[in-house]
Amino acid sequence: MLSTFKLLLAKEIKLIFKGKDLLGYAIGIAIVMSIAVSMPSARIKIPETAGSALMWLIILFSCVEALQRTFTDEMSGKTSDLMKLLVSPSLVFLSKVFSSSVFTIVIALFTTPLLVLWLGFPISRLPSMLPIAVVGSLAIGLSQGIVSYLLARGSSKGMIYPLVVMPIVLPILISLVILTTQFLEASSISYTLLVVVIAQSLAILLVGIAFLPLLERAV
Amino acid sequence: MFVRILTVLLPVIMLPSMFYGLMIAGADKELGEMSRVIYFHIPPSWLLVIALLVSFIASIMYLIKENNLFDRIAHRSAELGLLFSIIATVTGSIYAYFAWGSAWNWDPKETTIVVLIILYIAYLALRSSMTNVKLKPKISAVYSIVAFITLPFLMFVIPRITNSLHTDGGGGSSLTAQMRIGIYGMTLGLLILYILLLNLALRIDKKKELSQ
Repeated sequence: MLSTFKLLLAKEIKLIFKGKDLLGYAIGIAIVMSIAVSMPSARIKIPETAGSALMWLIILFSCVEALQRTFTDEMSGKTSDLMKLLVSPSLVFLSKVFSSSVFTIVIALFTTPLLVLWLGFPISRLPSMLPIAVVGSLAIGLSQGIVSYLLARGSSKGMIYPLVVMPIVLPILISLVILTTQFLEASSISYTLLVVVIAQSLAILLVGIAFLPLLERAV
Repeated sequence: MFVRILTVLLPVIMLPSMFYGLMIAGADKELGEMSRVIYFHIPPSWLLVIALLVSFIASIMYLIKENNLFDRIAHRSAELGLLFSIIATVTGSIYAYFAWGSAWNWDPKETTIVVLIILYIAYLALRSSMTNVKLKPKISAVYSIVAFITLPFLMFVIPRITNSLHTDGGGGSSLTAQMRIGIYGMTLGLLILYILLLNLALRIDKKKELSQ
């Protein structure tokens, strides 16, 4: 089972880094670049909260883009039905969620230093911010997985995607923005918030794994 | 028979509780008469948790048993939970206006209840967006379970670990024993109303199904 999962994960990671998913990230970076350039020229200092919110929005939208594409492509190409004959739906789901999370982590590791530099925050904060960027990206990826799967499975219209995904991720996102702001301000860090982020994303992932076989039963 | 008993019990419990809260129980020393809005704020807040819990359990039951009745219960209970959330938000805003000077303060509880409202609007939107009769209840059930998983974090965890204006978050005024009697009475009355409304919605659904 582990070797099957490894093979699936390798296949998904190869697919996800092929370039199509970089579009969401490119749009995010373009927005931040325009803000980063226009704000200082207008002599407006970007507050820490706004900086951290921008960072997590880029990471979130990159992940949304990657997850939506990976599940939709599989369903529309009808390859998901063929795959389910060979491996369990939970394994396919997990490989897609983890590959999207790996993609999101790479984006986060690239975005965080850029943002710290562009928005003029102290570079000394960077080493402490990178672990939170990795944990947060993983949490976002894991918690969005099941909803992306449900939407692709139900062939729902693309426009409903943000409405359905956002409220699930929002509590995690709010906690991450508060945490990142605390890191940027070098104030006291609420590690309980970090525990909440991890607990919530794991709870959603476990629910996904537990109820996926019931969803796929006799459909 | 059970429904008839509840229909009789509803005014017997709710009206005296409302009268007790509005007329007999002492008002808050700082806020005065405006504090009485809590009899219409705390009970719906509790009821929304019960309604969403019922929706969550019914969703799990549907996935296990695949009985359409559980899907209908999950759907209608989520709608009622949403209704109670909106009532709690509106009455909370009225209380906030008099207690804290502004109807909306971006207090953690205010923010999280808005997220909760969006969450269940998303659930209803997801349901209505799907046309596949076989998949619709299953996908809705899984989404309802995921949505409920976030509820403890939204309602109980995040507001308690961040600074809040709410009483259980460290700010505001505490409830007196007299206030509690009124609140418990109103909660019981609303619980009966919830059961009656759920029953009514399920009966309408059943008639619609039979007529199709």
